[in-house]
Amino acid sequence: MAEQNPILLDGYDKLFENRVRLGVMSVLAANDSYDFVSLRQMLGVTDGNLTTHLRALETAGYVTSVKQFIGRKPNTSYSITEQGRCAFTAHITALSKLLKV
Amino acid sequence: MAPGQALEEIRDMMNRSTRSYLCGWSPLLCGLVALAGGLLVRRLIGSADAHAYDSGFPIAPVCIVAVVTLALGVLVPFVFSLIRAGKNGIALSFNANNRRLFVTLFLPVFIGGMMSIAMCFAKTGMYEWIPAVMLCFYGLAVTNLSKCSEPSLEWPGLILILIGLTACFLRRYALELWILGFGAVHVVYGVYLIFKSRG
Repeated sequence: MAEQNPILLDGYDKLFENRVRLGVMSVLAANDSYDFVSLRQMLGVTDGNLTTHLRALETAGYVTSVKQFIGRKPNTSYSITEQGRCAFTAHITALSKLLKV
Repeated sequence: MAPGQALEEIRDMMNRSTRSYLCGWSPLLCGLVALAGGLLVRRLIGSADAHAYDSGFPIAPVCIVAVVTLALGVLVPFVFSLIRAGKNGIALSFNANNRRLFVTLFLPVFIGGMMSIAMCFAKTGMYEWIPAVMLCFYGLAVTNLSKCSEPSLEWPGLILILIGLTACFLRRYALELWILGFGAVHVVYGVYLIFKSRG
């Protein structure tokens, strides 16, 4: 698709085509950090599903995770990277442009 | 996913995920105001019978104290939150999330308040029912608020409803139950939140 109209789709990110990944980015863009369990509740997905998508976003360098212990419970919290914020903003801009066509 | 739908979803997620932080000092201050107001009304009423109209029930002073208590009970925590937010560099915005919180809390409170005002004007001595109405409606509002804000609000909400229902049956002690509900429950919950955020 990007080949057909490179100018119009500039900034459009294939990685955000998935609903869960898009949801993760939206939540992390609006919050400083979000823990795994809250993220799962917010998106209404399974553990495994969310893990897979988070790993994909982490590999792309869009999110970072911090593992820590709260008391004795392990807790992983995620936050958006500068690169991720740029990609997400560009994606939203591309989507809005698509709408106007 | 169509671009329009995707954008809609992004907006919805960003709004819904923004958490509101409830700090313990607000309910604590609100509770102290309620305690002061309630005890003052207790003194004003003395031994007057809330059941009988026109038997020396000091309705005017009680109403004045009530209005002042309400105003302070809302304003003191609000101003305190503003100052605190300013110190932490947070802008207090009226976004979709906060709007929903506002409506969830104040719609039932407004209805209960209107009923209470109507009872003030009733000629048949309905005063003794007013604390029960206030407690029940406020309790419902707080219970509902727990669903879109701090989940631990559910317990004080249910306790308020319980006290309100008790006040329906033990109307002789309606004012004392009001002080217990609006004063003590607020203070205890506020202290609980403060300790929770520290520990």
